[in-house]
Amino acid sequence: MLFNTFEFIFIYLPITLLGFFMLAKKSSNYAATWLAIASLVFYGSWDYRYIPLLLGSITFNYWMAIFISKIKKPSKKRLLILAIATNLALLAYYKYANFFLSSLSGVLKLNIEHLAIILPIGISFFTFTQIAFLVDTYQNKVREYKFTHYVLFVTYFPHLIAGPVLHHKEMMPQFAEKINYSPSADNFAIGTSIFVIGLIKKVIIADSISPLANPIFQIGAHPGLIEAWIGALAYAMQLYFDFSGYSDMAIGLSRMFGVKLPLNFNSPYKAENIIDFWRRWHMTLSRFLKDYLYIPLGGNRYGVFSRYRNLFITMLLGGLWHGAGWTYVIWGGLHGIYLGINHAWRALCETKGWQENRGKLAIIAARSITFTAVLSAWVFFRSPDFSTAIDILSGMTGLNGISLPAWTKAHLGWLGEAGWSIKFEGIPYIDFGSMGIPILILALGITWLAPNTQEIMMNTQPCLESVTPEKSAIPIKWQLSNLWLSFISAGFLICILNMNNVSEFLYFQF
Amino acid sequence: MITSKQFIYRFSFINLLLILSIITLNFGIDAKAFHHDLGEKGFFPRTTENSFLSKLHYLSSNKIDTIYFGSSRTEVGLPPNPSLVGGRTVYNAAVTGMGFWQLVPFIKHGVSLATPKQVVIGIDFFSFTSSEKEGNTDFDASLLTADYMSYSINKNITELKKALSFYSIGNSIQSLTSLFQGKSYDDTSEAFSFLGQRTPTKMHLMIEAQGKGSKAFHKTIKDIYKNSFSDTKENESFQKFDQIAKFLCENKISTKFYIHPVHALMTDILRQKSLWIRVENWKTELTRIASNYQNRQCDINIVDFSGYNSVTTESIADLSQSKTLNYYWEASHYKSAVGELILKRLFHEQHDDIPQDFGYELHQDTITSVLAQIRKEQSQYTTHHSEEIRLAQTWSTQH
Repeated sequence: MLFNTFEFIFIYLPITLLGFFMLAKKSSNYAATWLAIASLVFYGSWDYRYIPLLLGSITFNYWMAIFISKIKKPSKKRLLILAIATNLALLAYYKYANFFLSSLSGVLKLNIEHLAIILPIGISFFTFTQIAFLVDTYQNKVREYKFTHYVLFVTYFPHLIAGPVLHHKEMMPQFAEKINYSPSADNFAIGTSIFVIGLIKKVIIADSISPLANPIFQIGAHPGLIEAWIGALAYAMQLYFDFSGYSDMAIGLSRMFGVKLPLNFNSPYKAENIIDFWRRWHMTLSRFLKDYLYIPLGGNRYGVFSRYRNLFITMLLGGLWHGAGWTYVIWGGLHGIYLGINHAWRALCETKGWQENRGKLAIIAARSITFTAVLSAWVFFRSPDFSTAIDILSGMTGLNGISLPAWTKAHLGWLGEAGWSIKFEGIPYIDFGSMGIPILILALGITWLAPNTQEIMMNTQPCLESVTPEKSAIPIKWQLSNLWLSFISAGFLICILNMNNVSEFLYFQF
Repeated sequence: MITSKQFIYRFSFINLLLILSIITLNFGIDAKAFHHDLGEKGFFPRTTENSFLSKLHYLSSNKIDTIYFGSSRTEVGLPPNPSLVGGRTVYNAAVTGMGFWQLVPFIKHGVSLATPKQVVIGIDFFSFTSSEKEGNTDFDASLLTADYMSYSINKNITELKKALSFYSIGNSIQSLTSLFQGKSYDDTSEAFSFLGQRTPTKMHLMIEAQGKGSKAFHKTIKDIYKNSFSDTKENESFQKFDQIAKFLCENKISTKFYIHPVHALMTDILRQKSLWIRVENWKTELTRIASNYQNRQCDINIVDFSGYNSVTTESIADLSQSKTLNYYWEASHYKSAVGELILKRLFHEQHDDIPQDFGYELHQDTITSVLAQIRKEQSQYTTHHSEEIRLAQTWSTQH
């Protein structure tokens, strides 16, 4: 069951909300239990066979945490290692076993059959969430061990499938907060508005753009300059609006239950360098990777070389976390290199005493360079294999030639005569008659000129972090008014009328 | 400024009201005839054009003696004429774009609810090797059940969802506009379908949309040149074929599989792509699977109309922008005249109209000689129609 389905919006959500607040009148414990059960039903709607796996994982980690909290070193550490290893083994089996086998087949030139494994949806998210809980227990940072709240923290349906990657210290206290068990009109109004904004991002923008990207990323597509750029830009926008739309919906849904979630996106394509990008893109994953991988690896504590090495390893594993494929590893590796270059540049600026230029042109240049680097890496992230990625990058650099509509030959025919590799046979793959291109242009405009959801909703404290709004070309602020009511209602209705062709959220596959 | 409560109440009221109104309007008008028979008289003008849901509705609400299943080739080509199939009720349930992988649940559903005594199923090498991406896009396996009650519930839920869309609003507007203008929904005096078969009126419009006679023919040939003919899909399709034969055998339904008589120029692409051995192995395997059920006294047979016979080798010399061939709309879709010959051959073994070389029965005892005969006809065709073959090859590279 997806957030953007009739079943979710008109059946699951009203029943879950109604049950939660009715039971909350009797006991907050009943309400929390109801919400946990409803979350398991939500999870089971994909494949009920994985509910035992999820419950097994929760029970195992909960009891391991209890034991870790009670025993002393060195057994404490051994138990932590055992628990983390078990989690990683589970993840490795379900997510990486076939990747390992196919890589082995390739290296040894053997025909090893793949295992019949179906990837349990959300396994990467609930595994990471629980590893963080175990590590914090070991470090005596956990204050609450109530089982119902722990189950709810892991299974909580707004985040279970595709994040944000939650941290127990910001969630469990909210589940213990009595006031969150009383229905609040403010929370409903705010939550509904955020949810609808997310729905618009997904249904109207991301789903309309995806047909522009899909054909370019097919094996053997061999796109020319224009198709390659449109395809790559369309994917970058699709991924952002899809995933940030999902995150908005999760934040909005959670707010209806009175619970605030952490911010996951903060206008990442406005980043002026790669370090900045990773502070804005999938922020909860970046936080997890930093706290539970980069810092334990040594962080920047052992000199410049180890810092770069740790950064690179972190990004490489971050890439692998996204999917069991070499293209994801390359994507992670590229970002590791980008971060290394960014840190080296900063160090050089500091050494030389160069001041940062904050002029408009400098900002535009910085954003453009950052976005181009991110875009090039997305090509690997989306491509089915390495050679397709190279083919698209070749297209983007003009190495595959240019195709133009036949009618342009009368005006631009001279370019061909001047030695350019131009065909006047139409632009393949791109349907200029569809809504894809206008919506792609709109998406680019929103990305760079408009405030993001959190900035729009700033008056309502939409997420756990406080948001400092950037100067935006189009200042928009949500408020309780008939104008906003009309916008949210119209947006909701348009989404509903577009929801017959449901597509999954991209991050569900990770 | 308004309060949060006002915001929520007004949001819920506005949206509920609009959503319920849209559903009621679209479901009631049913412009695409999802729960009305095509051509049925009603207050609102409705389409007479076939769709997956309209066919499902007919199959689920009527008892039919003979049903045709298959892809658009069957839908366009086989006339639902009771006199041709033994004077019984008949319906052409073939669906445009239906992949072979979609046929199994569809046949099971249709047979369970419409309880036919005999079925005719059109098959070909092209649909056996096509990927699952190529199929009828409206196909919804969740609607296909053996039980009317669960079908009915699922169908109504699906229709309510479909009613809540811009697409349905557009269709309702078209219906209301037609109502006020006193026109038919499709703006034609003749129907687009008759008992499941696509009518010549609709075919003429479609051929026109593809650029008329010769262009439509060229386009079909060009598309086939681009096919990948996956052997993985072929193996999966054999399993599906076996499942269909088994199901129909167990339900004691007389079953006639027939291989489509696509134009010889289209068939010849398989030879040119060095796939002829695979085509012959495909026919041999079909024959072997069918024989398993023939040995169990099931009434199952396969007749091969493909290849290079008097019908499929119709010369393209007369093909022009304004004129289609006598037997073909374009290379892939044959006309009702051919469909009549097929049905006569399937149901009336001896008939004066049927050319001698049109339709070879594939049987374990005769398969080798049939394949040899087709090879001989192929050799004659490539010799005598070399100019047409060369011309077809040039179409594959045209833009």
